[in-house]
Amino acid sequence: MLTAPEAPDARLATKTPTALSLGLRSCGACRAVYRAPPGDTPLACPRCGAAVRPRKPDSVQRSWAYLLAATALYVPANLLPVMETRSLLGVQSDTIFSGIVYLWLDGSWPLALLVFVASIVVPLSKLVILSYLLISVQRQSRWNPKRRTALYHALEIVGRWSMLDIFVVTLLAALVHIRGLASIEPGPGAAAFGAVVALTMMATHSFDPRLIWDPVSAEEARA
Amino acid sequence: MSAGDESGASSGAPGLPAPRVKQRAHFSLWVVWLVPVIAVVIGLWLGVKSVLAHGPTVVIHFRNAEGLEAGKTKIRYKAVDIGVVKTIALTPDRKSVAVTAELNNQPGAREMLVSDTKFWVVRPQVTAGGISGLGTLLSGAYIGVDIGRSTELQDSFDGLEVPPVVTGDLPGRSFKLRSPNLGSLDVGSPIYYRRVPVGQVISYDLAPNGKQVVFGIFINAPYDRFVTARSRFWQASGIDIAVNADGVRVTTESLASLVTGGIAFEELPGGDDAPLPEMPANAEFMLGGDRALAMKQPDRFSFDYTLLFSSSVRGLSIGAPVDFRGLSIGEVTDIQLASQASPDNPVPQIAVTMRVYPRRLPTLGARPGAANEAPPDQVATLNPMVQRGFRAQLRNGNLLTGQLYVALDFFPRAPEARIDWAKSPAVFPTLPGSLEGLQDTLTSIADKLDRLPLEDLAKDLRQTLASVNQLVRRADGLVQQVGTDVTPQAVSVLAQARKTLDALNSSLQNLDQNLDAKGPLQSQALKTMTDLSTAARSLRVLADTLEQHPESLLRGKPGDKK
Repeated sequence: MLTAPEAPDARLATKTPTALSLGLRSCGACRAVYRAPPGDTPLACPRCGAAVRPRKPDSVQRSWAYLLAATALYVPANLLPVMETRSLLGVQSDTIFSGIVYLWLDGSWPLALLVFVASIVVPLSKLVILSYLLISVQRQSRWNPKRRTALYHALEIVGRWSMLDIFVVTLLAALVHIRGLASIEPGPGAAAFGAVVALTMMATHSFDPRLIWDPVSAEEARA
Repeated sequence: MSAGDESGASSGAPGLPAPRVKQRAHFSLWVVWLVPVIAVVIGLWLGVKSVLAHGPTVVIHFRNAEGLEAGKTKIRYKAVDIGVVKTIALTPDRKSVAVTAELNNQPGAREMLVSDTKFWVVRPQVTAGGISGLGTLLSGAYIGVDIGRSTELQDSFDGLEVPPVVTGDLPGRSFKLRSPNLGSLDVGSPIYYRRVPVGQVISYDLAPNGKQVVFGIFINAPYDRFVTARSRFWQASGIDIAVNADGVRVTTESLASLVTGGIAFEELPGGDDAPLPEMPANAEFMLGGDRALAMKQPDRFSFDYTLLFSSSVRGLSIGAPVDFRGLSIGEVTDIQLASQASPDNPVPQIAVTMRVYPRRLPTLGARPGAANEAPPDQVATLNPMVQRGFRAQLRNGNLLTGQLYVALDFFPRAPEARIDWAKSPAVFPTLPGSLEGLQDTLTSIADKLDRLPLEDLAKDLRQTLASVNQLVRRADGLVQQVGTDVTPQAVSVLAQARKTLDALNSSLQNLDQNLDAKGPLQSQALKTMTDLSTAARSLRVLADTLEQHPESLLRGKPGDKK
């Protein structure tokens, strides 16, 4: 996978020099820059002790693993109720989608749209975009690396906001607890949904965006 | 991040330090791949769990859904929630309500929905027998279940409108009772065995032909073994007041049965002590109106006879008893005109048909304890009895209401008669009733009275009275005469008498004064009195002498002769 050229003379040939092409390594934690020794030995930063690696290790595989886990949990997260409302009128179990439908039918369609985007579109698009990025990296695609980097940025920024649903459920469960009259409990779907968001974030974090540019650098080096 | 790193690293690379070699290798990659495996497992588990959490669904039809709420109303068995109502909808024909409920997923939940499982709505209920379902006042109604024992699965049920009195898991047996009417019984009415409450009425319904009421009753174990072929059931509703030689006896099974009615049963008296075989469940019994009726020997053999009466049968009703010296041995089954009036039969008679149960009367051919044996030939038995004056008679059973009954009895002086066996039913000879006899006697007395010469007697009486009148008038005149003639004279006589009395009074006063003065008058009087006394003595002597010797009056003193 890591097909970046290691030859020291390669840096002269590249248009845009990278740390890798210059034979340099930076510490993952304190960003101290070191000269890369020959060979493939694992390195550590003498200053802070963190690992010094040219790229995130096994980035694509880890990202895939988390992504697949998130996909597996995405199904129960959407099918199982995230919230059980017990009141004098009875027990109501709501899935994410039934909540959106309820909001829509209730007339508060802006809110319905908001929840739909935050809870369904965003997680789903995260899965799709990350899959696309991973596949494109694996296939050494050189197509539009700039846009793909932008997509990755968007993923990182937007990712944590999907947790809004879980926050709402957690807050309601803690606040609405009037014994005998009303109580709200998180359903099994909430845990799954939380896991989906967490796993997609981990997958995003495991992904090394520099991999998007490696094929580009390699091409430039060959050119 | 990476972009910044790279831009900053473009110069000064040769003088850079080298990083140290890391000793420990990074953890192997397969651990990362555990994450999706675990995620898939968790996802599958969640899915399977949520699918399994859905128990079997049941549709219950009720007449109305009062008190039921979708998502809230529970289904409870033995006060344990086993399910919840999901939806309530009208049936397409709008005649009932289809309540869809989901049972909790638990072992055996599907087996609860069998063909004899019953559903009903528990609401607060106040009856004479008690109060139930009070808890539902606050919690709202719930659907009660009685899980059946059948193995035939079913998922659509018709809900009961009334909660069943007895649940299926209660040990005991149910039986059927047939009664001409419902009486004051109701579902839940208690059943007593020797005054011990042992069961309840669980249902009642009209027989298909509409002529009887069929009760379903449930006898709790272990009392159900007391229901045998010899058991007799009767309605123990209300109070039974019996007036007999001991006085008035008021009997009631219990206070509750006073209000709600009840059924009592007992074994027929007699019979040996050997335990009788228990009756199988759903065996049928007759329900008697009271204890006496229930305890009557079952009448398997009966004979009909026609009785011809010339007198009025007013007060005789169908069902009136036929009685032999106080024993009820039959009943009147029919009353009608015997035949049309004709020249031969100018006075049409009333034909009363009586049904006699010979088993009830040993002389009519029954041995005790042989109720199922055919009675002996009636002709051979009855003919000699009729010869000795065995007759039927209408008697007054109740002076107040004028109810009549048919009495069979021996009348040795009755005119000769015989049973007409040729007719069907046979015509049994009758005698005029006791009241009729009384009427006859009264009529003859009236006739005799009628023949009395009352007018002559009255004439004589009037003459006598006239003479008496004259007599009285004459006496009146006499009295008046006495008043006018005698009275004035009497008045003058009385005046004179008064004067005389006055004079006498003054004389006596003088005399008194003289006596008081101790004057000569007194001494003279004393002397005179002495003389008189002497004279009297002499006279007494004389009288004695004369008494002893009356002859001395002629012959002188006896002493003189000497």
